[in-house]
Amino acid sequence: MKVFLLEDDPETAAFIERGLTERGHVVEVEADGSVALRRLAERDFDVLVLDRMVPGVDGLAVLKAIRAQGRTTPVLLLTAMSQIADRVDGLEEGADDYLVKPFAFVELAARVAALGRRPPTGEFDAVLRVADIEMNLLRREVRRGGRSVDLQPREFTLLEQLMRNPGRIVTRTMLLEKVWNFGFDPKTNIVETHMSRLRSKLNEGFERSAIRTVRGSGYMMNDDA
Amino acid sequence: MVAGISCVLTLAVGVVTFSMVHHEIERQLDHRIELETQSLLATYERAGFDVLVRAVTDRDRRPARGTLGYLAGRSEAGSRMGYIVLDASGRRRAGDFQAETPPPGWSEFIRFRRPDGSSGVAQAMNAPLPGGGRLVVAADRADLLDIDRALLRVFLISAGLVAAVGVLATFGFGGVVQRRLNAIHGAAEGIMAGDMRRRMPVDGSGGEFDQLATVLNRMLDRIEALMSNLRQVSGDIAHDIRTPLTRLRARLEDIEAETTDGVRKARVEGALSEVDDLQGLLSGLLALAEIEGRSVRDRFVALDLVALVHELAEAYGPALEKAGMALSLDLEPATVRGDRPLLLQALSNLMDNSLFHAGAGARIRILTRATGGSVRLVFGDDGPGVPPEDRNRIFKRFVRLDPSRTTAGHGLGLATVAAIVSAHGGDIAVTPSARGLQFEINLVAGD
Repeated sequence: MKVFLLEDDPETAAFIERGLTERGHVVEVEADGSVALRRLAERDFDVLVLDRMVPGVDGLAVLKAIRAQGRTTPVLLLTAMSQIADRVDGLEEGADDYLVKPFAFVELAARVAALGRRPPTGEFDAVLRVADIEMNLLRREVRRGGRSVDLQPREFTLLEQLMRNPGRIVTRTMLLEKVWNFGFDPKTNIVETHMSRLRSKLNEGFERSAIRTVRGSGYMMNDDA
Repeated sequence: MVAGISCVLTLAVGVVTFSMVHHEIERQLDHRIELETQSLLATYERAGFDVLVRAVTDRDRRPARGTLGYLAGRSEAGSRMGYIVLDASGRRRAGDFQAETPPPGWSEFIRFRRPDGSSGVAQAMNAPLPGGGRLVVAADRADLLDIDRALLRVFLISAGLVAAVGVLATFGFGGVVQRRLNAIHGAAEGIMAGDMRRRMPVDGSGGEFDQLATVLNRMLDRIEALMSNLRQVSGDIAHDIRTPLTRLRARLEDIEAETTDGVRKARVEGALSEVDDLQGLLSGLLALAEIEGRSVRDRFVALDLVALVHELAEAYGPALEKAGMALSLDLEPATVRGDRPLLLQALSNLMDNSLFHAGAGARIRILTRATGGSVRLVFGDDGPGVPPEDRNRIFKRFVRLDPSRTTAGHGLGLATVAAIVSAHGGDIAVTPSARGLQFEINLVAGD
């Protein structure tokens, strides 16, 4: 994937660039907002990672500018500011995702990957398939190995998030935001408790666990086998 | 200022009174001349020119009892004015008014000589006699001038008095004001110099300055309390940050010394979890600061509180079950004005609090009631509860009732709940209940 990164702190930029390159992405880094706007006009990228506070034109203004041009490239905003109002502003200006600094790199990588593989606007898969699990989004039905699995609505949404990202880590905070609309991380591990229910329903009668826990980061479904 | 205004007002009243009195006396003089002219003309009509000459001569011969003007104010009998009677050829036949014959009609400011030899100013009417000749009747303006002078004197004296009193009052009052302002100024300087304990002087008179000083002192009390709170909080933050930093440093030193890859990886993970802990503390504090900053109010909308509680119950369902806890809901329809993420966080923090402290097998209850313009939410558990003396303390940041501080968290959970409720214009209190810990929250109803 071609990733554009607007980040003025050289160390953070190098750290992100190295990590994303290791994961097979092609990364272009820019530290100045106005230069970034010129680069973005010249080339197309799959995902833009914009820091909110950079010299020249800030990340939010870059986001506004490219959305005003009618471009729908997925944008992940990074911020060191406080969360609540800032997050709302960012999403209102058309950011697709939001990450507060400091963050674990795995969190950033997971979000970039999830943004990059979103289907183009308007396209909609009626059926998702990962390994032996099949999810029908229209009939809200899940089958594993041909056998029907009865899920609660929230468990269904939880599974859907994982199935939309086969082979990729989906982090706990991503799930909290997308499944429960929790913009914060409660002390109680809500995701883990729901996940264990989902797992026991999916795994009943099967040897192999459908969902893998990536310790300290999140969850993943493997496409193989 | 006040003195100046009083002076101007006094002078204005003086000018108005003066001109009214002046005109009235002048009018009376004219009236007197008219009456006398009519009376003499009537004599002339009735008895002829010679009788008129005699009548005027008689009047002139009456003993003078003062100036012409003085007599002019008297009744017809005994009054003496100045006269001139001219025959048809223009010769003076009677009257000792010592002046040039004024022109026909009304004349003012005619110079003449009084019988005692002094000169004066008179007004006069020169009327024609039907058979030829003229009759002049004049009155002295000396009295009018005397009255004018007297009035002027009275008003100048009173204006002077008013001005003097005004100036004295202004300087006296100004001096008092200046003294009070100096005192306040001195206190303010002292406070700016760092003496936060200093207060504005209050003399107990209950006057405007005392009220102002009392209000300023209340403000200073509040600022001092906030500052001491700030000092306390920064101290707490420093402590809460230093602890994980110390552990982090120790772990990093261990990692540096460690050569076995497996152990090294485990230690790195431990160090990272310390970083996460610090990060959690900082974002908790930032969120608290943001909520207390009140800008969150801009995003308030009408929210279905019951739906929010159901979402919460759904999210926590499995966790409660795992902890062997039960949740009972007693919800009546209620809409509040607020911010969904914040209220969800508040409820979630209460839930976390009960999950971590109420103990296995506990029961959590949530009740909602809407009454008038407010909504009441009661959140309770039947765990061990908190001692009455700690009931208010638990809303303070960094307060953890567990003395060993071994449980997870930074003591920001309930402080955040209180801040969120307060940002919503509501209130929260720990209310007595038969068992466990019970919170009562009052919020503003939405619409």
